[in-house]
Amino acid sequence: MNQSPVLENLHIAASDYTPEIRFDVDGTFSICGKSYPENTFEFYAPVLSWLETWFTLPKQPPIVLDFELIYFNSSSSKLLYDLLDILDAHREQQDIRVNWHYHPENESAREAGEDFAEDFEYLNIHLQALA
Amino acid sequence: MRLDELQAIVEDHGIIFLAYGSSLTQDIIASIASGLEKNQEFSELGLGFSSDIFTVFVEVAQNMMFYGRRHPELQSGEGIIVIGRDAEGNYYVHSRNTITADDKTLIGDKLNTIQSMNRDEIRQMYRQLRKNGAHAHDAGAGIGFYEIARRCDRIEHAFSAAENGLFHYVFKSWLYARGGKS
Repeated sequence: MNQSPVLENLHIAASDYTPEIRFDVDGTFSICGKSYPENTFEFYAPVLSWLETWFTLPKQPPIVLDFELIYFNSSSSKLLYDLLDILDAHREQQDIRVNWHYHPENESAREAGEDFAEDFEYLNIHLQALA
Repeated sequence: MRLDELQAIVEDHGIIFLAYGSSLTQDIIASIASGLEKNQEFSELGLGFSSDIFTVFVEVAQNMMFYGRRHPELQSGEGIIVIGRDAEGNYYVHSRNTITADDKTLIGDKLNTIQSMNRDEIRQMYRQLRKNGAHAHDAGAGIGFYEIARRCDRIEHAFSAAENGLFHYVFKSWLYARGGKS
């Protein structure tokens, strides 16, 4: 008999240069703050791997992923792309909604959200200006 | 050392932050970034403009940090990075470090290409490179320069010969004043 993987909620506290990450087993995911880690790949590897494991769980609730990033460097942008790529690979079997929150004054943040929405045109990505 | 001379240079050039030395670390970068955020003048620029300046600074500084780590033999103590503002309220990030002849070619080619592109071409190339998995901090090969180019109005670069076949590499990004809060 196959044993289901045991997965705990993934919570990583924010630092001066890394975002707060909350990935709950119930499908509520968020990445908030700044992202310019020293080693971006090492920082995001556990998040990507957690997500891959989550998709192996026997029953998966709908996903809502909220992004609220003020600053991120280009290597973080690559890792965020990789994360969305994992979601994109599962979009046909899974109800997924991605909310890209940006400050209305922050044109680059809006543009970054637009880029992701165009890169993953079949993924349900919503741009939302913060009030 | 005449510190008043240094003070005069800082004032003449509107320098807000300056880091000197070969060993830029993540903590130094983060503390300059955090100082920048707390700088009142900076915080009044509007989130869009300040975020672009911040991102350009981090991108340039991390490039220098990673370059220095990949080439410990070049740690000559000559790396310098400056954030400043001119009288018209235009901001700049100005840096100088020592690089190898091979990287001079690589970086020079990349920057010449970017300088020949318009804003939309830069944006499309950024997305293309990100999709193809280019590493952001490989010298001249990744998307870091495209990130900088997307956020600033003008980039300038120059190389000059240094000792032992190496080169001084000077890079300056300009972010023009956006007329108050943007």
